[in-house]
Amino acid sequence: MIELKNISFKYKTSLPYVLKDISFKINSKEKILIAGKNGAGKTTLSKIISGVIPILEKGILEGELINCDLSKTGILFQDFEAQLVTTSVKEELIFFPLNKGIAYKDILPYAENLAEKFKIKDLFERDITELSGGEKQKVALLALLSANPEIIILDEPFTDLDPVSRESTLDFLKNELYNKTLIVFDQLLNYYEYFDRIIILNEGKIDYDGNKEIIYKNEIVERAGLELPLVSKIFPGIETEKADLFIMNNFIFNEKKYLELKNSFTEKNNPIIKVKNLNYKYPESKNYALKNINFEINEKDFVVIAGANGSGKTTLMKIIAGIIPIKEKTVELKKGLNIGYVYQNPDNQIFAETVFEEVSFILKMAKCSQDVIKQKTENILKVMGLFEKKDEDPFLLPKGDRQKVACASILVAEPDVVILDEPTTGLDYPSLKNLMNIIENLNKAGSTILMITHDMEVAADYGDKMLLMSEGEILFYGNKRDAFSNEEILKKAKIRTTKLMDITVAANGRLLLNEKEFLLCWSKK
Amino acid sequence: MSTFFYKNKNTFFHGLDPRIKIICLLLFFLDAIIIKNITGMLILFLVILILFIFSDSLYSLKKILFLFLLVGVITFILWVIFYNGKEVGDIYKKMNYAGFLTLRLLNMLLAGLLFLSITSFEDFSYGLMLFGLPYSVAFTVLLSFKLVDSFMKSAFLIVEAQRARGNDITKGNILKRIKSYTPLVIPLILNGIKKAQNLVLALETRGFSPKNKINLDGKYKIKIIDIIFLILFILSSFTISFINL
Repeated sequence: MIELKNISFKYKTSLPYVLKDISFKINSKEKILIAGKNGAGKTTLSKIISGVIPILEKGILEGELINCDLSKTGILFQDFEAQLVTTSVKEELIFFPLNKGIAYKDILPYAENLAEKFKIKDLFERDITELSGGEKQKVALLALLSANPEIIILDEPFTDLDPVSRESTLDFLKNELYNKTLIVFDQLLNYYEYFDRIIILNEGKIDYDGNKEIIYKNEIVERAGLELPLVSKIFPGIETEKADLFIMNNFIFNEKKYLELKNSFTEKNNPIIKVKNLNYKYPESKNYALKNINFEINEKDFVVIAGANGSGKTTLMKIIAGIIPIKEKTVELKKGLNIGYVYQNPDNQIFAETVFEEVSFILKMAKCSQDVIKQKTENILKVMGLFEKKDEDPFLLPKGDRQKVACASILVAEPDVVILDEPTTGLDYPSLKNLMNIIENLNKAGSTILMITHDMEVAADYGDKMLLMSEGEILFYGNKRDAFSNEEILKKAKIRTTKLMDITVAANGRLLLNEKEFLLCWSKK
Repeated sequence: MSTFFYKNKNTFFHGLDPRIKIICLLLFFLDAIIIKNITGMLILFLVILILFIFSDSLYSLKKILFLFLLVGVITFILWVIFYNGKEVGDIYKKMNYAGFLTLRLLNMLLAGLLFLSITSFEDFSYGLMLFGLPYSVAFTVLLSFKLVDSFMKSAFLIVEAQRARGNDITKGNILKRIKSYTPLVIPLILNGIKKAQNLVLALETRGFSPKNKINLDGKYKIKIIDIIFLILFILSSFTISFINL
């Protein structure tokens, strides 16, 4: 049993406490979800429970730790890419057990078996550098499980996974780790039913420590800056499985408004980006990353791009942005089109010494005057909630803030087209809403938005068009409502409908995409 | 973008035991040191190039060709200038000697590149352990490569991120490029150091310690084909060396 007694922690004497008077016990084989918004202290707590603090990382630690033993623990960091220490998937999976003294001949079959169960056997012989973000996250997770640790601590382990992989990972953790202690840190409560115990962390303190009843306690959830799963929020106290019956008994459906919604999509006809017969393979690679890509983007389009991990989404967007140069003239851009690209991993983009320098860099490159640079940079920093941190080193900020810095450093230049590669990864609910509102307003003001996302609730809430990809090919491009109505295509693209969509279809066969549409078409009796 | 030279390919050379590859690398170095004339160096150069072709590793040569050419040309010019010949007709001698030394350097670099193209960092470091080197030393070799790779990746990513913000610093004349790169040097170093710190933490959470006892039973086995290749390699290596002494 692990126990934390009155734990308080700060990184330096001059800095404020990150954790304040935390006390709780973790029993063997418990499955715990510790939720909290950006800066709530989740990462620090994960490092303390695992023993990383105070053994490997120093700080001012008060209180008593019992059985926080790094040798018995496997911890997956939020920044999982930094934890990949070898060159191939196979070597990665054997590294940890090999260092624990287990013989190679005993590790290999175990690692192969794990990869088989986790459905990544096809990646086994691949080089790490060839993997997509989601594939890397799966490998990093499995690499720590391969050492068979007693306690498994995962800090935001699902951020880069496609919706189907998220669920299969949760199923895998539930089925394969039934005799282990599992502690998952996350910003979301969406997968609460997989856990025995939920802890809510709010500004370094424990605000709730209990069972799944948390979904009936919206006050605590809101106070912590979190969000209840959408269905629990709209139908408080109603079980998801019974929500369709609840709707039928308590709400009236307005068919006219539904038809208006259904027919509201109109295709614009002013293309600014044309992609014709694009095929692409990376230098030295045998396989095509993109195959026969044809589509057009119109001015002011807001396109949500989704698909399985490794399906070519990022490659396609990097080619459009000109980051991956191509020789063939298969991508035609409107003359003078200014495209900004926000990276999937903010650390791939951030390089300056302060937040202000990072965000203002693009304006300096455009040779704007000092006044304009100051005014525009400060403005975007205020909107993104980063103004107080403008003199801090962006690399030392929590991942959610680094994500915001990466977005701000592109949005500040107000480009004609903004490409965002999973911009909501690692953001808590208020930050996510804030960022998405900025993006939506940019679109309303005339910018064209191309956004890759694995978050189907974000996909359901924002944008009107959808581009679905699988194995380097476009499966679907057009009206988002049609995409979510096509089960076969969704399955191929490893996309899931949201629970709210499923409930609306179960209630009367009419698909509604989001809360706004639900409230428009269904009214209380 | 991968900065590694190694690619997991299914060729005879990739499949050789890492100990055999390390011995062959040392023999190449030895040949480059003891061969005393330009013909021998040329033969060695051709042998390495043929091995590049048969091991399907020309891609790594392509990656670094410009740098090798630059090193070759500079070395050649410097030796032509500084060769201590006194007679007027010495220009042929000068060029011959400069060519010989340039080829010696290039042969060593090319042999190293070939080795890194067919040997993963892990196989290299475990191979050293199988020769009896302690894990701490072998792993330091692996870590050095990882750190170089980490710095190179940071550089690529910064250049790419610049391009994403409309500042393509890979374009323009050499002066413009130097001017564009200069402000990136400090962030690149800081970025690299931060990534190196993360790497150390990542290694320790993955159970790494220099004192660990690593049990590689079942990972490597010298096969008959490895032995035959080694014997042939030693024979041809000594033949090239002795006829060119």
